[in-house]
Amino acid sequence: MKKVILGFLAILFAGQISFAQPVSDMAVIPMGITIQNIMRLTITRGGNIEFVFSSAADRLAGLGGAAYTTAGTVVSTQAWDLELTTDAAQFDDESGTNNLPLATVELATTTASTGTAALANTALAQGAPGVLVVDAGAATDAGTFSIEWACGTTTPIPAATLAGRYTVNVILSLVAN
Amino acid sequence: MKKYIGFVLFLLIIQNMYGQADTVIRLDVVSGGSTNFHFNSYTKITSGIEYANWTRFRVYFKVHDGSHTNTPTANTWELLVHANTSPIPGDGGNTLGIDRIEVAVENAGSGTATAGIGNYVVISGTSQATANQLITGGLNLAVPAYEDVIISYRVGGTNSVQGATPDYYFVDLVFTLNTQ
Repeated sequence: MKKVILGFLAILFAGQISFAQPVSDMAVIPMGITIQNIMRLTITRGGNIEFVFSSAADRLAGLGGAAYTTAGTVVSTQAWDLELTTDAAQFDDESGTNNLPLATVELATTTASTGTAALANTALAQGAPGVLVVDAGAATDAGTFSIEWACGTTTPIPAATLAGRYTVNVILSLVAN
Repeated sequence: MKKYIGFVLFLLIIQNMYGQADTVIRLDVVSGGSTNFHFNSYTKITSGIEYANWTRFRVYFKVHDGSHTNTPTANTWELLVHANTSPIPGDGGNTLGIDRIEVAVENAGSGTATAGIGNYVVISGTSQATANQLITGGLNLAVPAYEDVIISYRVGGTNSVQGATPDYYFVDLVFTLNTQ
């Protein structure tokens, strides 16, 4: 009987000690973090290039120079390339019956604040995208580039080309490296 | 003899009841019980995201001296924080360093903000033993009195999330109210 009572008392004292101990309380704040990749390409100048051949000299020498420049900025959180292609295989006139080879236009990446300006005096072409700026390895909020265009300088306008307005869309793509 | 033992047991039970009633330590979340940080712009990724005065805790703290005279002890309280996992896991299997998360005390109640009011502390603790102390020296309060503690959060401030693999990362921050 004594053992039972002593055992009971021991349990009771143990309980008392545990109650007397300092206690603590906790609160849990769940936290979620969503990280997205940011890649933004903005054309700041030269979003529409027009070559107007209005004289024989223009047709013979071609048109080009700083006046025919497209400039843009890049914002990216990862390494990036800037690629270029066209949405058609040739320039088409407004009737859709006459055309002009893409190769009559050439381009050069004249500046690139990061990475390597990969294209120099390259004929415009469709298909496998040309890489304008390559290996821009660092994230940037102020990457810049510019492309200088020329038409009829290296590859002349074919003599049989009819008068008209020939157009094509050049597509610039900012892609992860 | 039996009566004597019964009386002793009665006294001990009463004592236990007093002991429970006189000690109150509670940490309640009044508002700001969860946070979500969406890094969906370059500026956010490079500068971080801050949720100022986001979580309001309510602290109830009274530790009795055991004399049953309703006299609080000289104990003070401290507030600690730790992450329940490190590094922070992502749904896509990626991880993010726990040091991207910071907390700041905007209102320490009767206590003292260990790093100063409004100063961010980079989370480094991953257990009770290594938890970061946010507030120290909070007063023993008379029940039912309480006081509020306000916490701000920042992710990607001191240690940027730039370069982190896109993913949804999730972690629990465990706040602990302790006696000192």
